[in-house]
Amino acid sequence: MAGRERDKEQKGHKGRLRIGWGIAFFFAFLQVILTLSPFVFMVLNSFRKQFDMLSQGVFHLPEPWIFTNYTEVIRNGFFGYFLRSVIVVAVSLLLMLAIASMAAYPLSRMQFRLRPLIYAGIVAMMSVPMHVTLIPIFKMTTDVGLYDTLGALIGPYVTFALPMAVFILTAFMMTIPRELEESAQIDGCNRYQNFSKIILPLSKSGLSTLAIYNGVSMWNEFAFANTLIQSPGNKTLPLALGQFKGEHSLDIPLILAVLTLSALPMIILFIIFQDKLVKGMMAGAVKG
Amino acid sequence: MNRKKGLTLQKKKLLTGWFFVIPATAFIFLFSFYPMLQAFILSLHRGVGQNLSWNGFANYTRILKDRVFFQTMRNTFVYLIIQVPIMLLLALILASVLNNRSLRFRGLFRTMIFLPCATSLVSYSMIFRSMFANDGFVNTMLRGVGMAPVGWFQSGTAARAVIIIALVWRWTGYNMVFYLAGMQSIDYALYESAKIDGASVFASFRHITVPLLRPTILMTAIMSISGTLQLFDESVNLTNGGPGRETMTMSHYIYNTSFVQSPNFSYAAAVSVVILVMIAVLSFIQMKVGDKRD
Repeated sequence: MAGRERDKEQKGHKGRLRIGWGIAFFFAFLQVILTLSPFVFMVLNSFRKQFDMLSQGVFHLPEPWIFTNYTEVIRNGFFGYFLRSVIVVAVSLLLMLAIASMAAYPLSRMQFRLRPLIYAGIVAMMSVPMHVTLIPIFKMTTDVGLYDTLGALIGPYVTFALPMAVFILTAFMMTIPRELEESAQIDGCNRYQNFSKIILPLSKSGLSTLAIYNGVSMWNEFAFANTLIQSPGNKTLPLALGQFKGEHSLDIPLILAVLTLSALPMIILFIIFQDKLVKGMMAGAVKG
Repeated sequence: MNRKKGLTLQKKKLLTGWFFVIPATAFIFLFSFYPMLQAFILSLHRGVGQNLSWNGFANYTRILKDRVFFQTMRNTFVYLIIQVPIMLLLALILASVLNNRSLRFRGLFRTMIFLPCATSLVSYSMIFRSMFANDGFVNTMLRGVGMAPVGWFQSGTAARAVIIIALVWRWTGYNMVFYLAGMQSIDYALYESAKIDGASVFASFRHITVPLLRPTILMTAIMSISGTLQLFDESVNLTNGGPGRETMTMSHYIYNTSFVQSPNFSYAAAVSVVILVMIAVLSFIQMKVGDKRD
């Protein structure tokens, strides 16, 4: 649009700019290589036979490409673990986002007396070390009879993501102009409708950022899953790894196949969500 | 709600506010505050299971004489002081690069930089261990450049360096996305007019990006500090605290005292209360320092 024409007028300054961007770009490129190489390592070697890793060199293309690692992983109940992880993460994530955005709304708007206390209390819980609550929560779940069920994981997963989510969403909602709600109120919207029809849609990019991050950490969560779940029929993906490790005395390519399959959904999710994220951000930037 | 017609508008508002906040407060109370409280009560006792007996503050005075605790505290602060600034600066630079509208394939770059966050802990530690092994990728590269190979896991300093590198690798992309999101609220025309005025990239970085991103930077700094003070995964999986206890973090020490050697959960609880207080104090100082407006 107009920006592109302006860009053309500024070509004179570009020489100096280019050096700065060149250095910055170099850093970005270095980071990309650094982040990518472990990934390439994981994917390439998951297509190799167990003893070809040493003889062929870990960064060379496998020869021949074999798929038996993947078929074996899938035959050994991979999709069961996968499905349980999907259920736990989906339920915890939706619940967490709903609760966090509900709490963030009054915290960003209303001035009741206990507000600073509640806000500080919630945010301070960000710093509770997870390993401390492990045993008390273990006792609680056995007392309630939730031990060894997927339901046991939902409470802790929601709670550990909550403080940061409330913190971010409150900051996010403070930037939404109040005039929008005031004019909606004149049109007859009550607080609940304001929340669901104005605030939530406008917080979409904040919500999707939180969904990506917390989705990933819930997907990979190990300590609580390991403590609260015992029977193989209830285990989630991060525990599957141990299962595969045990059955086959450390067949590294096989484990890498499990890892590749477990990382894949998160990457796909990021690519999909990220697109929405960028669109939402772009829309905001054009208006500004 | 409709039945309470006697309420004033103000009170009604308050009630709605409470209604919205209660679920979050309930969850946090049940799964975070209450377990923490139990841990604190436990830290004033000794013994296991039903055989608890009152111990006063003995666990806390024991911490003051605990050499291992101070060693792990020193390690953790080394990570904190070196890793957090490097990582945040790198994340800021990366975000500025990816915020440049004329750069192509921005989505692709973003995805690649985000990849480490999606990698599960086990694969990441396995990969790093093999890359930093004695005849691993990194030493091969060093030899190629004509430098002496390093026994990465043999000396404390080198092992700590591996942990710092791994941390930067894993969390830079995470922080970068926060900055990128923050940068979307900075009017891009500001950069363009700075460009017209002949400002260098560094100048617009220092005078536009950093001041306007201050709240985001503060938030990521607080998050990184509390994350580093709770650092556990890398210490356990990459180096297992070794050599000796040279790389062990405080959380790793808590874990070891409560599950590994002779389990002493009440002492572990006391250590974790101390860490909690440290995090709270540091975050408070950060907020006070960062909130100064100029």
